[in-house]
Amino acid sequence: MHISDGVLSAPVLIAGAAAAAAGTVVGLKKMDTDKIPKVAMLTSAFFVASLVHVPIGPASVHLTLNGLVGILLGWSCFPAILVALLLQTLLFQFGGISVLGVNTVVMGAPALIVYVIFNNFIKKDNNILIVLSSFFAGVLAVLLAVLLNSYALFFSGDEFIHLARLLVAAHLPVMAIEGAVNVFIITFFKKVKPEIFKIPHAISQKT
Amino acid sequence: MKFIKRRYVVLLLIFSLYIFVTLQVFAHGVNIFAYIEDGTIYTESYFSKGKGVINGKIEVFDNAGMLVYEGYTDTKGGCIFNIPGTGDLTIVLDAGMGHRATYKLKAEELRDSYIQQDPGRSVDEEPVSESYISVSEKSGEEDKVGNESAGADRGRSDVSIEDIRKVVEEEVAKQIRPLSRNIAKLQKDTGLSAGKVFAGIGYIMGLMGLFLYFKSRRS
Repeated sequence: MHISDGVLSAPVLIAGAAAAAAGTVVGLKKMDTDKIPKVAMLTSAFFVASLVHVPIGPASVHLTLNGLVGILLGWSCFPAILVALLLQTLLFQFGGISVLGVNTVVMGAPALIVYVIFNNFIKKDNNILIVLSSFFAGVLAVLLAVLLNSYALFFSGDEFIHLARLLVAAHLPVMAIEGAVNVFIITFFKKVKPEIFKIPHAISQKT
Repeated sequence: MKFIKRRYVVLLLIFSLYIFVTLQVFAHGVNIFAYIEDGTIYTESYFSKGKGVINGKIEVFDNAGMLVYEGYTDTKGGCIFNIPGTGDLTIVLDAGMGHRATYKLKAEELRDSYIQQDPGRSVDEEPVSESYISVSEKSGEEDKVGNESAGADRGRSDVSIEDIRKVVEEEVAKQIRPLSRNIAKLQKDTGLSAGKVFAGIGYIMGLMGLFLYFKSRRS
């Protein structure tokens, strides 16, 4: 879902850049030393994930992993996604520099939302709860990203309902795959290293 | 300070597996390239994997930003049209869903094609044909021009040389077309490769190192 340069109008680009900058600043503030390697790992994962494509009819869609990034990083998902998208633009010409802010928000905001909603459930001990939360976190993250993407394109003249319906339909397999991937990775970490879910920053005292 | 915790190594292993299993499939970007032949522009639009873009919108803009041509790609991703103007041209592909790519054609490339198309226009070539005639007149028999002998009137020698020139140009153009196509494509390929993936990951690790360093200096 990388939007290319030259598609969006200036106000959208500026709004996206501002929102991404704000999110990144907050994310960096909440990123203390212990968290940095984790952020780096997930940035790499997100960076690589977009290379996995699922052919859908004439076009193709790609995995995002933004749900996973959100749950494991919280606010720090913004700098992680920003860096990953920047590298994709520079190395593979996916997306663009002017549109980097918008693409970051399109991926990052759903990641954060999914974190806020599902984080507490995942920290609990109930296996079924963990599986369900992981799955729906993945699904919701992709769905929201697709909707935000359509919304951004809407401002460049594309007709929203039609486009949104098309994109959501095209991404249904991605949502399913992301949900499944999330389930596997999160249950794995819950067994092997549950401390990874404790995100040490000021707000999250509700552990 | 503990740098490499086991869980991160495990994470890295999992994701490496992920990479190796799936690296042969590439995500999508769109690309367009164009080459010129005989006053016609051939464009090809395709996704990163190589699949052609079907029914993608093609718009061509001139130097001033005016739209000089509008069309759609066919089932193979191609869109062919006559050169719609002089000067630099910018060809824009819109494959929908935010995918967009451009290709620029310089005025010089277009001009060369015009000359190919209309040999009568090339004023600077006449002195050359004149020297050919003088050579064949001098040599007498040995006549690469073919049936026209040296004694024939100049008018007919001019035409036959132009005929030959035209034939040669067409044949060469035919041979060159796949070459120019490949060159244009090469120039535009996004270069999705395993090396670049590792380069990106390297960058990320480097950033991590920098962050850790500066954070540790502060405390």
